[in-house]
Amino acid sequence: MSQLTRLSQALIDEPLAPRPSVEDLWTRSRRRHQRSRSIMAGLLVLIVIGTFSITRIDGASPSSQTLPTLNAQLASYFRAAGAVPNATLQAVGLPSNVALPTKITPSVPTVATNGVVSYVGAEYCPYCAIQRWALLVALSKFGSFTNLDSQILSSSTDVYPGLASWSFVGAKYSSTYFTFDPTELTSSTPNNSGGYQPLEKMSAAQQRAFNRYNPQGGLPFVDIGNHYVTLGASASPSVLEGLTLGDIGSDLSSASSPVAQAIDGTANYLIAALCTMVQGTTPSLCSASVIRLASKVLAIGVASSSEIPGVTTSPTQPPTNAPLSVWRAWSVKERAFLLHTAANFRSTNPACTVLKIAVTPNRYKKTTLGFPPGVTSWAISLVGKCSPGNIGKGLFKSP
Amino acid sequence: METFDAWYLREHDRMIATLALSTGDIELAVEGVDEACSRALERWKRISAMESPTGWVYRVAINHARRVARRRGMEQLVFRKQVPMPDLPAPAGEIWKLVASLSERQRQVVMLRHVAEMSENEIGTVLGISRGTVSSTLHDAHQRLGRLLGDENEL
Repeated sequence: MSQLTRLSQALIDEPLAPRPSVEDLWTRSRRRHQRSRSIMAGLLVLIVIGTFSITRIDGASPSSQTLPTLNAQLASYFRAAGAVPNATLQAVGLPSNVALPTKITPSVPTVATNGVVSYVGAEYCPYCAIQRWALLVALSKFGSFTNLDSQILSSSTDVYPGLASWSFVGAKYSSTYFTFDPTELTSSTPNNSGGYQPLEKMSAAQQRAFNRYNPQGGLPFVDIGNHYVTLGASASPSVLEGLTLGDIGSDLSSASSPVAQAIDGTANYLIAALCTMVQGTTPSLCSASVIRLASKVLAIGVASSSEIPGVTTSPTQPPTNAPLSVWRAWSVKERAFLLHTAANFRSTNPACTVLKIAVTPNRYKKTTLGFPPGVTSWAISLVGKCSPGNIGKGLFKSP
Repeated sequence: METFDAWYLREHDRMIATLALSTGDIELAVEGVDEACSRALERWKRISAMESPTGWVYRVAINHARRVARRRGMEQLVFRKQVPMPDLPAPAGEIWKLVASLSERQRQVVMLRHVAEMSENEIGTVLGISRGTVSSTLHDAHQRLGRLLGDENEL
């Protein structure tokens, strides 16, 4: 018996992981078959749509009515998304589960990016699926889209598989306020090297901003006039799971629906950021109370206390070896608590003023201070100034 | 013919240990082994008649773990997701430190030989390589591990 065999015998005597029951294995097997059937159904739908497209190009098929009907349906969903009433946006407000765009100090040449709203995403990307909807709602308040007629599904093998969305490829946007420059980097069709078929390339200006503000290369990336950026999705794509374009389009006008909370809530922040780009006469929407509130929130980088659920006590930190799901739940509560704390923070030293307060994430690669790897912990970062003679006495403690 | 339950009871923990030490990632090992076992359960009549049912399950588990790892790598790249660093409890952690410097192929061969206790022929079938390649890979790995252990002959 080798030394390695002897050492590893301990891992068999005291297993590294519990053994699922045979019934669990059957359940897993059934789920796999359900997933396969869903993928097959999705493929069948794509084949049918592809067939209709081909017959339409031929121009001789009696079914050539089908595609225009489909496009008309798509157009109606987009009209619905583009016409979310201002009252609905007002009712949705600024939900706490929506991430804020980040204010940036322009540090790339601004000639090509000023006055330009830039989106970089990909058709397979589930996070892009939800961010496109929010952009559509927000940008439609300042202009109009045409040629949004390419329905897509996000990757079937990724997280949040098969989300209904559409592609910005070929879309046109016209506005008197700014231009919109979307880029879909890849399709949702896998290629042989484990990635996806490439579609479009970023412009030079986009690439510079992407590299500067998004060094880790996450998608989607939205750059609002070189003043605000969003990295990744601003809300969880889970709200789109199992919904058709029609479902999503109609839910957007129902303020209490999870779809509206996520997408319209994101749109409110995007609209506030877009309002900062407007030169000359400002659209009336920019004066709406929810957009003014969003502008204030963007300026300080912390959501308003009135919009954050009252998490007034810090959640108890789980033990290091607790399951990742427990840590994730803790992380959500901890962030909510710190946002609440930050939003209500007032300097106890009257000689000091808070200039900027933000809740910032942190992740460790290995277990540190009891936090296991991969868990997001949160901290409050505070910048303030004190009058002469009070320097060093701090913002928290009275002099 | 051996029943699935009996085979599963005997082999499961060893398979988890083998894959965990090959990849350095318990989560990946559990995902691979559980998926492979559920597939084996569906096809047990056919699998049990094979020369090495365990070899078939290892092959499926390794391939599945590789797919999951590739997807995670993509997510890490694109969505900036954190992939947990290998964090194996003792004594797996000690073994991992020892073998982490080996190539992925060398680790797989070493673990299949010394933890799964497979023959070189079986390892060749699992990994889809010739017996000669298994022998030379094992030889190289043993030399390297021997140096690391301070004893060329001890393994």
